[in-house]
Amino acid sequence: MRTVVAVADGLASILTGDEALVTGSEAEAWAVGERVPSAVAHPGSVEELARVMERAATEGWAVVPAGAGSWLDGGGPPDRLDVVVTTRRLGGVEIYEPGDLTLTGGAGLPVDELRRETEAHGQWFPQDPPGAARGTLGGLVSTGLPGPLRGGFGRPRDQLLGLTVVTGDGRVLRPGGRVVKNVAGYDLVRLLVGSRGTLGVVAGASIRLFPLPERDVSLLYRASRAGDLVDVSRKLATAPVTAASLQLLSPLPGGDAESGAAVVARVLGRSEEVSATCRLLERSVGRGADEELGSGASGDLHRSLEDEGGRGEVELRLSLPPARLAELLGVADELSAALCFAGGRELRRTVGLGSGVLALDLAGIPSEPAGWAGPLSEARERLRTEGGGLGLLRAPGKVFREIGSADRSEVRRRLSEGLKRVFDPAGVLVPGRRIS
Amino acid sequence: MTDALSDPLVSRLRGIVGGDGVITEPARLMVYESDGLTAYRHLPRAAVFPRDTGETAEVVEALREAGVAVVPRGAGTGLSGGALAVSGAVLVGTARMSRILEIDPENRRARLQPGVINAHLSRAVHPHGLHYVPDPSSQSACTIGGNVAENSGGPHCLKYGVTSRYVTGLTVVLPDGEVAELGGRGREWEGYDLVGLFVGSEGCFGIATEIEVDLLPLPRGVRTLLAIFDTLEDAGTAVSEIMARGLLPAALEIIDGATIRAVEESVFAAGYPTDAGAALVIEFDGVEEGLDADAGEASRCCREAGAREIRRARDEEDRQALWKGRKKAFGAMGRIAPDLLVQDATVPRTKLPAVLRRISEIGREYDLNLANVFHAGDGNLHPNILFDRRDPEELTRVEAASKEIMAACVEAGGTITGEHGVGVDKREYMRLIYDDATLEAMAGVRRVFDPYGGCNPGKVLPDDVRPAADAVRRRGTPR
Repeated sequence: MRTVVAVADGLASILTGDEALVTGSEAEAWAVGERVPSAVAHPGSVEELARVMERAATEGWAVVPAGAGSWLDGGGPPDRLDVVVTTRRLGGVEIYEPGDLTLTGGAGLPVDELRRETEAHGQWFPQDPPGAARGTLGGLVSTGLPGPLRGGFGRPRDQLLGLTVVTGDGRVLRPGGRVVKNVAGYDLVRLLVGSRGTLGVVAGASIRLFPLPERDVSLLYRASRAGDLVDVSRKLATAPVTAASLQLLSPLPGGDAESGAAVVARVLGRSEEVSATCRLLERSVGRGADEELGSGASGDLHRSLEDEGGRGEVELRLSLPPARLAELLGVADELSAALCFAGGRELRRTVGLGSGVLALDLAGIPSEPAGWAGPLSEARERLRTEGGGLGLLRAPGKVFREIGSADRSEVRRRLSEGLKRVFDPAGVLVPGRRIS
Repeated sequence: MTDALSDPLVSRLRGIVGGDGVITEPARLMVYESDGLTAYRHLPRAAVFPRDTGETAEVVEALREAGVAVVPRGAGTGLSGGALAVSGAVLVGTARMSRILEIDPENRRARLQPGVINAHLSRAVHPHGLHYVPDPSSQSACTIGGNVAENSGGPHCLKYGVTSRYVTGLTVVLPDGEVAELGGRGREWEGYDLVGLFVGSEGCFGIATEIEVDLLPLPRGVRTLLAIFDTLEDAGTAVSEIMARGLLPAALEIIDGATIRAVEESVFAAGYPTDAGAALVIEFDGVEEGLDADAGEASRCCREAGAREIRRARDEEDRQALWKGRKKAFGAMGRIAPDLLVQDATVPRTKLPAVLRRISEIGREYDLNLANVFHAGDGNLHPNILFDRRDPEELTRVEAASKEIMAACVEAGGTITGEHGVGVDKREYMRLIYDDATLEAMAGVRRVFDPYGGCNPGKVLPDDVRPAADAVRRRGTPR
């Protein structure tokens, strides 16, 4: 039985502690897209979480795992939903020995708390995915999204050392470890990072830290249109030194459609090294930057950029090899125009100049999803034939269903379905969500 | 010794790869009986060398249809017995897939076949001001395909990360002969991270036949220091101090006294003082500016930790000389004992001094000759045991000591392998770090890729681990 009462009763017999179980109108706050859960469970330990999942598998409850809830509908809403299981009571730093430059924390550890804690020891976790400061460590793992710093530090997958994960049927897995080099066994950590709750509920993670950079400088090159910055962008992306992040922003954080675009090269490191790198970047462009932001301002700019990310009602990723930036911007222009014609509004676009990935955030839910599906499918086809792709990170369920899976390879689908069965044999974790 | 392959199967394989691509004569197969871990030997029934993805797929399919297991092999430099042809397997070697298919400097990437030698790739992209970062010590011999299978590291991974960070896409032949395209730059959101899962799967999930990698600009400057210490502990203290000051060296390598003496007594003599307790190689790279300051600060750390001498490379020739003792360590040890067990484990950095003490105690308890060479910045240890396997009593002590060393590393919060892989060698240690549920999930994942169990059998997981789906069924309906 999956009635609201049956679900609530079942959970009540497992969960301990005040406010561990939420039902009724309060549960509505945890709706995932158009799906509203019967109950929200906040298990207080990994064991409790495991029992919740074991029960869910037996009863066939559809579960969506949640951290802070900031990317809850990322990857699309589920086909059905009974329980949202959060990790908010699995927070806290468990092991932090600064000399090891590693940290182990519960999935519910807020990213901003993680940052405060590590900064107090002159260290940081150099990952800045969209909206990170609003989220949790577990959310960062499950979404797996890189931010601008991928250029200098890689993606979250590259700095995660080990996980505690509860499978769809309540098994507790602990792949990886907490040391910085580890090749023991198959790399389940990388498989789970970015799997968006479809393979398991992340309960904890060990991460690699780095020394905080002594200096943080951003070089800005401005223009009224993003298209006018293609040449500067390419020169910076092929310079003989790499910036920690290199982005084309349109508009700059806090700006609007009229405020123009900018290329921002962020350089981190020791003082002399940063100055020299900036000069080399400017020499590659052939002229000095329009503006140079020092430590405080550079940090602020990137915090705002991170904060504005992840707020779109629709979030897309478009990519082409980095050298084809002009075409990439062209495809984004056409797509954006078509989506805006059908009720959308472009909020911002951000291009990772090293990766060739363009993030397009929009507001406005289309009244008729079919009006979006055509342009999206067309853009995806075009990008794919030219060596890139298009990904739908967040969109109304109707749009997800309309444009279908990005992946048409039969063999990859077979592998993915096989993996899903290993981790979620009862198929209760985010039913219907495709990772695409 | 298993039977020879049937004539029709050999003919079929020759039909796919050509007559010179199949070796069946036992005398010629001898070179393939082991990899870099020579303690294990197994003659393969045959060795087959396809030239591209299509041929590899046909070979794998033919072997599967005949019920013959496949063991992939690159250069055979692996140190965990990962390319050992157990279970009557046929080796599928990548030696004839050694072409760099595309160098794309504008997009800083390259696409290559798996048999390309690691150092050759960096040499090929050097004219474009680029390099391929992961640099295992065997880089002049090992292949990129082997690096993918093992998720190889190397001295410079301290600053830059290991193989999996640089592999962006793969064409793989799955164990049933099917071809799959995994990942590819700009397609990272398309499905699960199958590239990340495949890298480091030790040949159990199939054979990578094309590999797409990221390249980085060459560092503009480099500073290399060699610090000499009276004791290993002092060198360890210097390492902790360097890391604690927020310096991020490109490499931080310790060579202990026993290793120094082995090197100095060999043809590889590098001019390290033979009465030293340890030598520490420190390297910084990046833009020129700031490197001298970093090197100066690291020197101060060494001096405060009791270094009696600090040498600084003045040019590339000097730099190679300082590195020589580190790079030739394994070769030199071969000279002083018939056999060398190269161990590999990682511990949390702060546990290095305690673990090193424990390892030397274990060496004394078992009366064994131990020598340490390691990536100190990563906490990645290589305690090496020198022995003679013709002495069965000594071999027993080697095995017992190995096991204790692994247990000590795990107890300190570490792991059983940092970069050499599990292979056949460390399967039994897997239970030291993983519980049944995690091992069963790994076995379940393996079965998704290889439902027939014919791809590199007898590696990575202990034989009695059941795949997760079976384990779930066995438990019946959950309560």
